[in-house]
Amino acid sequence: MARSAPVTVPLEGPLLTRQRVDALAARLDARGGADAIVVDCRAVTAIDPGGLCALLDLAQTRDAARCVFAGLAPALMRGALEVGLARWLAICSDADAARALLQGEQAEACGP
Amino acid sequence: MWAVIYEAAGGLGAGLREIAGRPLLVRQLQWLRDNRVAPVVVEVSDSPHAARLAALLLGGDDPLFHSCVVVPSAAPLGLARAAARGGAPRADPLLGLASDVLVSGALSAPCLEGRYPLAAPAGLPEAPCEFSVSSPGAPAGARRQHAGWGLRVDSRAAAHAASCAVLSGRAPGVLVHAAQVRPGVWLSRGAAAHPGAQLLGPLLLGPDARVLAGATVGPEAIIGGRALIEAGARVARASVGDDTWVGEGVHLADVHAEGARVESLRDGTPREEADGRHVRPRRTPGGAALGARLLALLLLCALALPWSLAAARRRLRGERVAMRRTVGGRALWFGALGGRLDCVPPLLDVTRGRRDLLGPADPALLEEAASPTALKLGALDLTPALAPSPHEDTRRRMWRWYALHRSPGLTLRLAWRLIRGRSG
Repeated sequence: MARSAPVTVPLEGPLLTRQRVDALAARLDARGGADAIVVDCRAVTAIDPGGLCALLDLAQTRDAARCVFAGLAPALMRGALEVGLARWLAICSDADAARALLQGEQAEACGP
Repeated sequence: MWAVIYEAAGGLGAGLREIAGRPLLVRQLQWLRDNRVAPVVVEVSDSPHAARLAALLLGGDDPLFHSCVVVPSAAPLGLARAAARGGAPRADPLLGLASDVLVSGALSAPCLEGRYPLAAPAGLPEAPCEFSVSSPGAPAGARRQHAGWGLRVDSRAAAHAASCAVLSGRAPGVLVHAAQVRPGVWLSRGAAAHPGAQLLGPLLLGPDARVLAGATVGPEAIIGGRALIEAGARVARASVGDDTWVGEGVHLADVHAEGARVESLRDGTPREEADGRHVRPRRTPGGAALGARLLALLLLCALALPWSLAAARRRLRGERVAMRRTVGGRALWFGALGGRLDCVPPLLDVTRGRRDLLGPADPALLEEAASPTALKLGALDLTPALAPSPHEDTRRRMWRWYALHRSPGLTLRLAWRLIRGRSG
């Protein structure tokens, strides 16, 4: 079965809150059958504990999906790695790494 | 016969490189002791490693160091000058060994003057090295044969390769201070691996090191003392330093990880990985802060009367008011009134330093006791504010994040959310 190209979904910022993660989850659900999703995190510069908790919940419920968080600031990426998010979701510092992770498939408008 | 371990020009601090769990300097002293060569002059040249080398030689109670004469120097002196400074008699034969050369095997009897070129053990790259025996008046250049093997340990990668050769039995004659549980798999005193962990030799677990379920360690892995390898981590062709915590799902290959630093085994350059690697110094949680204890005492005074009245009512009905349970080796109080006043017995534990004032109330959320993210149970449960999630795994991971980022501001913010009944 041919895989569809990854699509990019922006994550609202600057603070990652539970409400924003819930909105992201709704958009991901609306995408339905997309094989690969790149979540553009360039707008996020700070993480609220509630948002991080919601992100973990999101990861637990979508572990069958291929989802890459791209553009996360290094300090925030470390915080996400500390809670073991990398077990379910790939986290990359920039879009090139995201594309490489998605094995060369074209990603829409996802820049560093 | 005297011996001199002199600093090799390109190998300052080589004596600290670990060979199967012990510094190279210790391995050299062990070889000299086994061959009854004493006293030993050890040159310590000025370098970033000098203080640690000197501490190793002068600070320990090991009898191995009792016959050592330490010669500090501003720059490498060479064999003859180091021997003279160390007081080696000029008339006696002298064994010279560079600080970055590891030797094994018995010295020939009698040990004739000359140069003894060394061959590397099978499977390791040859790097020219030798030791020498000299006497006044005897020709220095005679080439002799040594029955054992020798290796130049001029880098961390060379030390790692030598360690793996020792652990797999390819380099005999070096004592491994551990028990071989399977061919090539060595566990030091107190080291333990979960039955669900995979251990692949050659591998050495240092004293009190722990490997948790689902982790894969080896082949060619050296784990330091009191290190903790978390569930799902993979360590192969790598070394982990003492008191280092390797986080869940972390993959380490061709690196040396120590504290919070990860560097390449080959050339020592720092490595910044972005695919889930996480390494920290391991530490144990300290006692409750004085401020938290005083606050707990104030709360106890304020709640003592209402709690006593509620407890008396329950006691009259023959029901329990509190119970003691052992959590993480500590006996803790838990309330049994079934309401908000159940926080009173735990406040007693806070005043005694056995609990935190704010923290997880569920023992299932606690990490491995010596993990850098380990917390103590709290008297007032912050979980509804920090991790309002139906998934226990999410709650545990959020407490891990809190332990790493805990600050008075964050704690107050969460406490305020708790009071207002809001989250996220």
